[in-house]
Amino acid sequence: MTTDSTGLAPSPPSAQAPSPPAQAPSPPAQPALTRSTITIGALVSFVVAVGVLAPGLTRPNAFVFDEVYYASDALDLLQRGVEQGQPVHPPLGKWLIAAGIRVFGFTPLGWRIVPLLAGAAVVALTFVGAALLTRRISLAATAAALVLFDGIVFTASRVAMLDVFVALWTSATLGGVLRIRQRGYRPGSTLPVKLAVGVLGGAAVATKWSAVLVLPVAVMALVEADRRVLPPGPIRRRGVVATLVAMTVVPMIVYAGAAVPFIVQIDETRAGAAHCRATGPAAGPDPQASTNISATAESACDWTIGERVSVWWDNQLDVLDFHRRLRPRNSQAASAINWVFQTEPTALYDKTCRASFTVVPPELDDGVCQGARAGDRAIVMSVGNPVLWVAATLAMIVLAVRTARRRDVTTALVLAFGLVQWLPWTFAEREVFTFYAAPIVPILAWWVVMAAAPWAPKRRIAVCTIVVSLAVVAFAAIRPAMTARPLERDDLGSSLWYPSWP
Amino acid sequence: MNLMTRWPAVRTGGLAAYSLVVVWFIDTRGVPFDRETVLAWVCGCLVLVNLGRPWRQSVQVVIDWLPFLAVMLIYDLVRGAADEAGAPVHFTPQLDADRTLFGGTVPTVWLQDRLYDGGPPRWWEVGPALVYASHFVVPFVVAGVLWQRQRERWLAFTRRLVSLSFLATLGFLAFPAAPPWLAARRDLLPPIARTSPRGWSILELDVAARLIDKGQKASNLVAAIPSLHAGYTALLLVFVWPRASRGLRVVLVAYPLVMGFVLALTGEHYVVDVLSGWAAAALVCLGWTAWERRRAGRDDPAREQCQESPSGPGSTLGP
Repeated sequence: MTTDSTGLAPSPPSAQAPSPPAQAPSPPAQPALTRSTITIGALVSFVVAVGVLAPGLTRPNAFVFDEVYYASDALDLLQRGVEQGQPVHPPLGKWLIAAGIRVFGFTPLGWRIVPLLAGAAVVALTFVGAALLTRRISLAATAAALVLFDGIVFTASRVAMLDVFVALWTSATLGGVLRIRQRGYRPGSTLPVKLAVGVLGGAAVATKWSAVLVLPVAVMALVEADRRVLPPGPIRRRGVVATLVAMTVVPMIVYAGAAVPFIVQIDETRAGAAHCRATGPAAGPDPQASTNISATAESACDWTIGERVSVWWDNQLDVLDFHRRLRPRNSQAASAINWVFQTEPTALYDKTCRASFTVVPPELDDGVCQGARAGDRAIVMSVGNPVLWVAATLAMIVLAVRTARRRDVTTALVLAFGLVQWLPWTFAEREVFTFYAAPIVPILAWWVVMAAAPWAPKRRIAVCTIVVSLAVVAFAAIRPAMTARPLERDDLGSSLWYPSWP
Repeated sequence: MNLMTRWPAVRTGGLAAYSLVVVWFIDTRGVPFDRETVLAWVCGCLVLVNLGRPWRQSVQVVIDWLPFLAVMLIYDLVRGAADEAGAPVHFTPQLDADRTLFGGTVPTVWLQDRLYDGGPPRWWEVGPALVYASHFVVPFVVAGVLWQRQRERWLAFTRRLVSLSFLATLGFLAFPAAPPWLAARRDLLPPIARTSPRGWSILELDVAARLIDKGQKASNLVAAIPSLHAGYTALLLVFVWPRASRGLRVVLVAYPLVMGFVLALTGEHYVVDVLSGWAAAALVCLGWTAWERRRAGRDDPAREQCQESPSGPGSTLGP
């Protein structure tokens, strides 16, 4: 039996025969956290996170970076059920943004409120995952704090973009896998959790394709647990089949479900309109075909189900082609290898206030420069907390050694979950932005607390206290450059650490 | 003479050099009022004081003070965020309360009528400037002294300081209150100047005035009730009193009173703001003392922290 340093050995299929304790060299035995403790901790984390993330949420009173696409697409989804332009990501994240717009209107609060709640949920999930991994509330709180004070999650939670949703779904997927590995192997309880994990994994991919690599890792982790715990024969076969179905078919169903509005209202889509023009009664060269997205002329088309699916599929291939052909053109793009030291953050918003801005009509004013002096600068910079990233990189090395020495599957799983979402970006020849790392941040925090978990209590508490304190100090220093608050250049100096920062 | 016997001299020399650096820093960059710099100076001093002692003592400086700094920075963030919570700002209740307390007169207006003529700063304005700015430095210097003398007392003091700060934040969130100078801008009072930084120019430390001015503009302008300027001074009085010498006790009593006078004079606070700050400090001290008593038992020395007998054991902070 492989060892499992976190004590997450699955229970046996039979309730009568509890599994032997995991060969856990560390941490030393201690009472497990109760479900209520974890729930209360998660709720507290959520509330604190909302308190940290929310102030100044509506500044700037304008689109920030790709909000111009996602908020607009979300409004389209709300009004028409499909995006008006050519979408480059699946619609689930935009539907979530649309929910906020539905409640608070097409305002900055409306399009940013759901990402904020998602960011707070990521912090809470980090707490839960760390509690499951380490069984120590202090380490769970440490992990949650490290995520809360990371600038990438902070900014991703305060703009209407998709990465915070990917972080939410992928960390929930990993949390589900951990839960199954910990105590899912009880009669009748495993399958629903596996299906739920499949739904979460599908939701991640239905938000952004970049999440797809977490699925094979989840499959491997669950199949390994099936093979390790279930007795050979039909029971094990059924378990493995259930895992494969839950982690392949279910995500596909979720993904397809998110595509249903596109298929149903195909004549409202840009791809549908183009197809209709090309094949409809008035088919012929149309110079406007690539840009005209009006929904007025498409009703002439009669769509079969097959045509609808075919156009949707072709559109998926177009999107794939779009991502393949992306090359670094945006000055804010940077290599993911630099994420370790966060030397090349992405400036989502950067404005220098001018004296002439005082005469901007209110309807055109984003409100950032009100009360500012000429020359003041306001920035929203997506940058990871260097303390977390450096600590996590060191923790990664510790965990890799531990995995190799002890064949620790759970540690390997958490390592793999982070690396499959990081390493591909380092090899990508396309544009890479720091906010793509949002789904990795909770896993970095887990790496840190997992590395510290086996240490003696005094050392563990001292190191965690120092790391969290340093992270808070770094966050407090950088925060002014993440909240679009106009500051004098001298004051911004303490927020912009490297010459390469904007 | 071996190195062991030289350490006191090394420490003294180091502290002297450190003092010169501090003076140079103040002369060129102004008095450090931001949390990080003040605590960094205090910690630097503590490291010097512990030269030649076990190295763990210096490491302990970092282990103890870094979380303290982090917590105070979180408090700063929360206090700033309270400004953006969107609760309506109160202008008149505290104004009316002062009028009621002082027979229809607002003390700030009365004081500025007599002591402020809008002209250049006068020599005596150095005093209010120093007293006002001491809020940013004195509690942390006292914390440094406590840490060096008895870490348990430092812990007791910092938990009171942090609690008082966060308790005050609840007040800022629940009752955003405009100070007198802001009420004057709404024509609720005659013109009131915010005079707290003026005295620095007498000392030819205009850079300090600019730092305070900038800090005031960047901070939560309606974080007035309770006044933490007043609260910290009351906390120092209550906490240090049991072990203070007679001379220090005079200073301890005078400090909150003088601070209260300065806050009213400079237009920063109403008198009720000051009283609420004192009350908050008393509340925090009572709460922690009760907790410490319950934890340690009736005869435990921990009960000393807020209500210790004057004749109790331990070193004094006084001269």
